[in-house]
Amino acid sequence: MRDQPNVELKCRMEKVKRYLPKVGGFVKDLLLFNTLSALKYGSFAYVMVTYGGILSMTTGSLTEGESMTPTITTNDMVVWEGFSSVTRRKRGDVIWAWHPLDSNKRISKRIRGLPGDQIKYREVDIKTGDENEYLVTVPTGHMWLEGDNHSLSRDSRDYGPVPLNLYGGLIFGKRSGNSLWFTKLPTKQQPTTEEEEQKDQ
Amino acid sequence: ENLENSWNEKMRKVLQFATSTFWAGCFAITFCDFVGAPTIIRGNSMSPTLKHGDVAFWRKSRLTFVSLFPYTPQRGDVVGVWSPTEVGVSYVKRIIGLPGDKVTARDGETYLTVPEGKIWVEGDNRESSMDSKDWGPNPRSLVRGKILFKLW
Repeated sequence: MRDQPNVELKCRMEKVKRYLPKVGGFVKDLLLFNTLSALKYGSFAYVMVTYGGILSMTTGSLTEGESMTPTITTNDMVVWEGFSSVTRRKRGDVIWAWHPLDSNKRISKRIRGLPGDQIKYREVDIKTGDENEYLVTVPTGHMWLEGDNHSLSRDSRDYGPVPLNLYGGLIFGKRSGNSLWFTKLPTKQQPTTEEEEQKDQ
Repeated sequence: ENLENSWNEKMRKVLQFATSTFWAGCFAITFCDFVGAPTIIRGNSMSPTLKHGDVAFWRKSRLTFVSLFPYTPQRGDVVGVWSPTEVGVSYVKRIIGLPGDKVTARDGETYLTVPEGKIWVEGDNRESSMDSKDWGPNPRSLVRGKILFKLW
């Protein structure tokens, strides 16, 4: 009778010894299967999103900032496609591009000028208060980008013409924070009042 | 009936092969983006380091949606850069100057300082054309990726 607890313990140990490899094997198989599945579907998703090119929706960095209001605001979700970077460049298109000076940032602006175009823009000198007019010719292989919100946008008026090779995708639609539907983005800039443009330092 | 069975068998095998290839392809593309891929060098502007026909292994410096290991340009890095003037064309050059560095123009006498946000690239081959000596300093974002090593 004194052996009873020991026998029970031994029985339990025997059972564990028998089933542990099976459980272990099962867990191993599960992990392997899950890892392979994850790699399979994960890489598929990555390829579709990055290269499927037809539609990719992004919020965040492309809609942050006020440079494209009222066309695109921070609450919006935009839809862009990746084919146009090769086929289409039109003045008035809203596109996203890689920021020329900060290589991991993306910007969304409107194309105002293509190679060869003459661009005229006004900037108010903060120190003197004078409004200066600048004339620029867009060089080969570059484009002139401007945000719709002229007073707040940092764009080609600040960092110059942007190489066309930095063109990322054409933004053709957006969905405002509250609505369910996507609407097409206007190809012409909506009229804004002629405000004084100030460079914010 | 036997004929149809063997046809079904063949179809099954073909489909199996096709789907396996598809998944392998997706994985390969993802691998290339995150780890790196081989590329064939054309032209001799980087000789003797890299000659026409050499195969090098390179890694993209940025991905559209993920920011895993952001690349910081270093002097001496051999990188692939988009051309600032030719759309769809890229070159392999070495980073010679970072913002603040003083570099010489082609005539060997004029000095310029590399401005903020830009880099100065040159081919290892002295007679190479189409680098910063022609383009001037390039916007940093034109760097596509870094050449990690030469395969053969």
